[in-house]
Amino acid sequence: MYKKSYLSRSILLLPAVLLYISLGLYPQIQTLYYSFFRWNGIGEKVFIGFENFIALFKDEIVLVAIGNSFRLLLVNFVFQMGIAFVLAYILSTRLKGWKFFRFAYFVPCILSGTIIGFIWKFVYSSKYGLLNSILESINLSALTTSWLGNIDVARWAIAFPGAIQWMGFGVVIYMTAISNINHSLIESAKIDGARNFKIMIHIVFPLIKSIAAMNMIYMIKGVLQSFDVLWMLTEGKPLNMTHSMATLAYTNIFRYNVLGYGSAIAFVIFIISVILAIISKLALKTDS
Amino acid sequence: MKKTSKILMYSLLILFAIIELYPFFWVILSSFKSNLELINNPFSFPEEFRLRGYEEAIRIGNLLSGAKNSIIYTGGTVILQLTIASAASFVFARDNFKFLKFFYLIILFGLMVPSIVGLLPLYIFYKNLGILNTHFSIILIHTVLGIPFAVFFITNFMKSIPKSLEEAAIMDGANMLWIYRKIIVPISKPSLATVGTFIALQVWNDLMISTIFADTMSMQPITVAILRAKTQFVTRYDTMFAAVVLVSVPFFIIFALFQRQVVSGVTAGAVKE
Repeated sequence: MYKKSYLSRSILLLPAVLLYISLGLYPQIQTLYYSFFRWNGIGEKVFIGFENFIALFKDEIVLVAIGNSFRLLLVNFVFQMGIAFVLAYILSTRLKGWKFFRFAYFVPCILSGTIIGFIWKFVYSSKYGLLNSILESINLSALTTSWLGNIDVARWAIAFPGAIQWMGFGVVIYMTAISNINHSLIESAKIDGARNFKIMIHIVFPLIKSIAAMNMIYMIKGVLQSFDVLWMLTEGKPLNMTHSMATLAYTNIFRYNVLGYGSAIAFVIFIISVILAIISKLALKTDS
Repeated sequence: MKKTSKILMYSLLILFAIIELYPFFWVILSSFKSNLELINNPFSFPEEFRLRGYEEAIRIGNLLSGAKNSIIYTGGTVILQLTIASAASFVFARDNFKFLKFFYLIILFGLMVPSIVGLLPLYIFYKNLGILNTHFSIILIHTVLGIPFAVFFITNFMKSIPKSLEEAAIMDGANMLWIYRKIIVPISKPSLATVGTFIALQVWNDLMISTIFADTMSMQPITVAILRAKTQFVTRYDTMFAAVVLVSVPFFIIFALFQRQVVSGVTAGAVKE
C-alpha cells in the first residue's frame, strides 16, 4: 500500500474538502440557523424559535407554492418517467429513424431552461401566442385563454415546459438502460407470444428499476430546485400564485429581504426532497 | 396487427418530436416577421427575411459580452472542478484513514441538498469580503456546488481501476502525487469527460446563481442577458425572437457536432451507479 505521506495526501485531498466544508456545507448549516430568526438583513437578528416554520404552514402563498411544486413533480413524473420510458422502449427496437428521434427529444435538454422558458412565454402569450393561434386556427377559440395570467390554468401551465424539456433526458437514460439488459429474456417472451406492451411493463421495466430509481431521485431534486424556466415564465406572478418553493424562497430572500423566513422555506425544500428520495428509493427497491 | 402497431409507434414518436421541436421552429420563422405579420399569419413562412430584429438584438442585447462571460464561467469551473475533485477522489478511492470516510459522507450528503439552500449565507459572506461580481468568485460557487456529484462519480470510477497498475510504481518508490498524475489521471479520462460535460451544461445553463452573484451588466452571463431582454424588448417581438435564435444556435451546433459524446456522457453518469 501507499507510504504514509501526509504531505501528498493533503495536497490531493484538502482543496476539495476544505472548499466544500467552508463554502458548501457551512453556509447550508447557517441557513438552518437563520431560519430560527426574524431578520431583514440590515437590523438585528431576533431569535424566534420555530415561529418561521409555524408561520410558513399557515401562509397561503407558501401552501400554494408547495402545491405547485407537487404539480410540477406530477407533470414531470408523467413525462420523464412514464412517457420517456415508453418512447425509449419504442426507440430501443431500433426502428428506422431512431437516431433522429433521440436527437429531437434530447435537443431541449442542452438548451438552457432560460431559453426554454423564454420560448414558452411566447407559446403561452395571450396576444400572439402560438397556443392560442393554433386553437383559433382549428376553430377552438373558446379554449383560448391567458395561459399564464389565469391563475388556475397557469399553475398547471408552468409545469409543462420543464417537463417537456427534460423528457429527452429520461429517454436517453432509459435507452441506455434497456440496451444493457439481456435481450434473450425479451426474445423468449416474444416466442411465448407475449404482447409488446406486456413485455414492456412486466419484463423490461423490472430489469431497469434501479436506474429508474436513480432517474427519479435526480428528477425530484431537479424539479424541487428548478428556477430558470419558472422565473422566465411568471416570476411567481400573478399575486404570487405560481411560485414553486424554489422561486418563493428566492423571492423572499433576494427580493423581499425576509431572510429568516426565506431560509426556513429553503430548508423545507431540502426536507421534502430527502423524504421523497427515500420514498422513491423504497418504492423502486430491487429484490437482488 | 404488426402494421397497426408500427403506425401507432410512429405516430407517438412523431407527436412528441413535434411537441419538442415545433416551438423552436416557430420562433425561428417569427424572428423574421414584423409584429403585424406575426399577428396576421402566425404560421406562415415570412414574406421576406427581415434582419432588423437580429441587428437590434446584437446592438442592445449585450449578448456578446454575455457569451464571453458564460464561456469564462463554464471553462473556469470545469477546469477547477476536474482538478480538485479528481485529486480528492483519488484519495477517497485508495486511501483509508480516520475521518476519510466521514469527509466522504459529508460530501455525498451534499448530493441531496438543493442549491438554493446555502446561497444567502454565501451572498453575505461574499458581500462582506467585497468579492461579488468577480469572475473567480462566481466560478468558485459553481465549483463548490458541483463537488458532491463530481467526487461521487469520479471516486466510483477510480475504485474500479485495478490496483495492480499502481503497485509496480509503489514498489519503485513513487509517491501518491506522481501516481495520480502519471497513472490515475490518464486512465480516468472517460469519467472526467463525463463529469466535465455535466458540469459544463449546468454552469452554462445557470440562471439563479448568476442573478444573485453577478449583478452588474459586465459580469452577467448570457442567461441573464436573455432574462433582461425579456423586459427590455417587450413590444419588439422580432428582436426577442432573434435574441433567442442567436443564443440557441451555438447550442445546436455544438450538440450536433458532439451528440455522441454528450449523450454517452450523460447516460454514463446515470447508468453507471
